[in-house]
Amino acid sequence: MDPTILMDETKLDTFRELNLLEKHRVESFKDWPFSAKSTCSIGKMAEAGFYWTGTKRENDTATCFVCAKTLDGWESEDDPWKEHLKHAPQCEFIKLGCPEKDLTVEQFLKIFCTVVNSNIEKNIKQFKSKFVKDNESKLDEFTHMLS
Amino acid sequence: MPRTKITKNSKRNREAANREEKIRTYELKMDSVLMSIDDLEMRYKSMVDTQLQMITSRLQTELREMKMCDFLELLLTLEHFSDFKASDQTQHFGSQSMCSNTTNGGGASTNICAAATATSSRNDEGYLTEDSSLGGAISSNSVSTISAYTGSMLRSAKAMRTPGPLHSARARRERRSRSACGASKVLVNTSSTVASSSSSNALRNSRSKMRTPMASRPKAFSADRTPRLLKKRSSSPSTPPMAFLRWPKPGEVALSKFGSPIVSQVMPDKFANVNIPIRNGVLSLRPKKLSEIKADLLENLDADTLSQIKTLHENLQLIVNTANKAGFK
Repeated sequence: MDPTILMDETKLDTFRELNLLEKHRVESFKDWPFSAKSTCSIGKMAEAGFYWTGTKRENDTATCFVCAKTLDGWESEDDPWKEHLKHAPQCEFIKLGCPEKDLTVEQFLKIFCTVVNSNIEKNIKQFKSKFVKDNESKLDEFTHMLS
Repeated sequence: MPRTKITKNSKRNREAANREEKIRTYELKMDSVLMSIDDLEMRYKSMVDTQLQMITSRLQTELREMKMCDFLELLLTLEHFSDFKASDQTQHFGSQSMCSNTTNGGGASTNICAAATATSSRNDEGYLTEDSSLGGAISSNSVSTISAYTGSMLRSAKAMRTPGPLHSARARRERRSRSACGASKVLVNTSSTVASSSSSNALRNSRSKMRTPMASRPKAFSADRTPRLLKKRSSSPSTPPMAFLRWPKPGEVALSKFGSPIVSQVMPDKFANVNIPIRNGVLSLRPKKLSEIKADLLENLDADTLSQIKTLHENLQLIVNTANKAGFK
């Protein structure tokens, strides 16, 4: 099935930044070195849970939307599912081992729960490190000012 | 006479002390802020967990086990998960039971209206919901249209037969028959709305004038319902210790005069109570002795909910034990 089936954009766009849907993962690939015919085409990558985290210089970097495992150095004959399993066997998505269209709604909701929770974790971690850093620099300023 | 020169030093000392004090406060505040951030994180995560568990437990079996490819297509037509139940399921169920009633009645066109009314009385407990309005709408339609539809609808409806949202209705059937038609005084009030809005045509068409309209329309009046006279006290511990409630359908104004008790959005209860969301509604427990539990109510408990109840039970036990130790009576 074509993963980019027509969908009400506004309804699911909230989840775009979580790369929750295969459609959104496909659309995240702004650049990719492999053609649609190769075993790690954009479609296959998105199906196996990867979204693009590359840059112009390193355009073959992709990250799993559930376990956040980032892999680069792909080769055209790599199978994204196998690589995913090899590098992140603990991933909940790879444990289920089937593409989005074959998941049941219940399974998808579990995945969704994991993704949202790890997103919360990630954001809080980022916020905390920034917060601590900012405040430490202020403390430095304060102690230097007085000494 | 020389003075002791301490001012400058003491000032510096004071400043140093002040500075140290400030740094100490800073560290304390940092620690507490970081701790409250962790706390928030935990809270949000558990909120996500419980919300999703709620959604999952409230989902219909059919929807829960639906493949994502079908679901994503369906999503276009859905606003909430519960819309699935309200729009598709109930209507299929309603039309299906209507059709089967029609065929049971020999397919005679004069029976159709009565069958349609029977459907509404079977599916709703006396108030106007989609089912009854559906039945009512059809009963007021011309009879010939229905009989034309019946054949094809029966087939399609049978194919769509699913464990529907009206498990609740089925679960209570046993109790209903036991005490059915208890207070006829109450029934006059309830069915007047339904009868006038949905089945007035039906009555005219299919019933002889000699029959009492009320007697021909058996109405359930089960133990977990409170008559209107007791309505004001319905949320007090005087209601049964355990009752099965249902969630209001989207767009439904939850004003239940009769019928199965509805989970109201605001719980005005001033007494300790426990509400357990189960697959198709809510079990509401009140602080009153419970003698027996209907087994069919527990069929809708899944393993997760059961383990949550166990935890709740332990928590309650802990509260009781602690209170006992502290000497409360």
